[in-house]
Amino acid sequence: MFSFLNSIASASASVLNYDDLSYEELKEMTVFQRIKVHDWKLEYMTIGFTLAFIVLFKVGDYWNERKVTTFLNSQKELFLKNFAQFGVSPDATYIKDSSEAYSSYASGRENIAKVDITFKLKPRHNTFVWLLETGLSFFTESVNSPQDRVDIVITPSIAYDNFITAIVSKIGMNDYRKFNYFLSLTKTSDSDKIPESFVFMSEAAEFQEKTLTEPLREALKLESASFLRYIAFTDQAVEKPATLAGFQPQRRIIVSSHLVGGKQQLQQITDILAALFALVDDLASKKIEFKVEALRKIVKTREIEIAKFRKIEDEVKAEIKAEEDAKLKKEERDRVRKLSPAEQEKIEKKALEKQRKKAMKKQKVRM
Amino acid sequence: MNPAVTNIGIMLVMMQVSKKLDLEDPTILLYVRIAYLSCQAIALLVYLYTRIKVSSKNDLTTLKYVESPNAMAGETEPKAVVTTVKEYDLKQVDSLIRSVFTSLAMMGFMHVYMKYTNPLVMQSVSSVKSALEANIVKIHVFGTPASGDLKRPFKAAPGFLDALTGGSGAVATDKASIESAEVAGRGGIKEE
Repeated sequence: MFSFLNSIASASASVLNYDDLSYEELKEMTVFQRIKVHDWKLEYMTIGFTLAFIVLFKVGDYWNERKVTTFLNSQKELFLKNFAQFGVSPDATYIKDSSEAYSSYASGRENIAKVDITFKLKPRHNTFVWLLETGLSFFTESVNSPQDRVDIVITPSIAYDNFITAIVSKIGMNDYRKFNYFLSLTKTSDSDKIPESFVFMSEAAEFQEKTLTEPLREALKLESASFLRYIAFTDQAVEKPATLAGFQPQRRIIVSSHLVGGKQQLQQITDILAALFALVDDLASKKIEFKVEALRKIVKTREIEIAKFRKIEDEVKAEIKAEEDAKLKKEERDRVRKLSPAEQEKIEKKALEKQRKKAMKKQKVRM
Repeated sequence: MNPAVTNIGIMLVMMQVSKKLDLEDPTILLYVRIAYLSCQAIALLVYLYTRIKVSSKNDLTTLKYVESPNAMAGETEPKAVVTTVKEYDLKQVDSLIRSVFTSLAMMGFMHVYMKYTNPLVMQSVSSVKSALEANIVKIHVFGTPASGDLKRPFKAAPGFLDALTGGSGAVATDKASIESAEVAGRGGIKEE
């Protein structure tokens, strides 16, 4: 269509140029003739860019959705085997929150209250932002390079102890510590029980050893570290709590991974999830139990963290109080200044008297 | 020899060289420009080669150290870093690559906008020199063992800003400070 319009425009442009024609000459022409001689270059460009943007948006949007559906379909079998409900409603497996954010859900299994699956993808639908973020992330640390991510949060419905332990991929582990409050409470240690591309981050060796069940150990492969970010058992928040309520324990198991599409990689994630579901059963049946000393240590570290938070809170309060006091004092001074000289003198005398009395009292004590 | 001493030596020599050169002459100017750009390209290639080497070695040994707080960013407490040798090395190389681009941008401003030519002469040799003297290049390209001064984490020479802000910019690697900083719960920054 455009080549056709273009040929008209170029043909007529060679004959007549809109800008060269006088008002009278234009007035003579019919509307159609005027359209023919008008220079439409800017309009073509605008339409062209708009269309390109729309096409890129649609392609990126579709690409992201494909990634999500591929992942969910690969895990479907496992979830249907374990849960009464997989998906946000009987006919939808996921909700599209935006072109780069999706979420899914599963519920209805013994010992597990729910599983939340959230996807955060690269802004493929917005090509310019995507390119810009990718480029900027190399030059500044304040821009994170866009990544495809899936976080699977398993919330057990059983009572078990508070503790933090995680198996973390060595690739990017410092960032995981930086962005996860609970990981920054743990000690990092290498272990020959897991592939050397992973480390344990846990509050005590007791937890990392007992939560590494046989199926979980087998599911972890050396190359999984390239996409798996971490598998974490935690009762503390991801973001550093800003209120006292934020320290309230919330036990859950988090599997965080880059969103991959390879069959083998997806199978590894399935194996890990299956191992974790079984692990929750072991926790429920008390097959996995922890030593009392280790649990006591956890209680203590939680108390220390809360005390730290309280201390900061008190400091802030003290600062606010000091500011208010200073303000009151200033107001009082201003009030006195506005009074008549005689009254000012009276107040001054009173203050002096007070001071004198205080000094005398001190002397008496010393004597 | 101490790189700082040789840097001053090179600077003095290049100052004399740039005095001898007739920088008004367009042909000489062209050669100076080509020399500058090729030196930057060589430095960049050295870094990229190092980067490839680091990636292919894939050394996943865990590396822990404690960074002293960055007063400019408003930090007050030391920060534990848990990383791998590979990731540490990549970070070092990337910051060097970034510095090549920053110096290119600076030179672009000085030369194209302000019309200075002398810095072109001075910067050309020193960029290659600093590339060959970088710790990370020494380890991966020249095969110097990573011990002594080249033991990771590298000790940065105290900079001018450190004296002003009171931070030493130093890293601690002793067991006690790592253990206390590691579990201090300083993570959990809000992610975008």
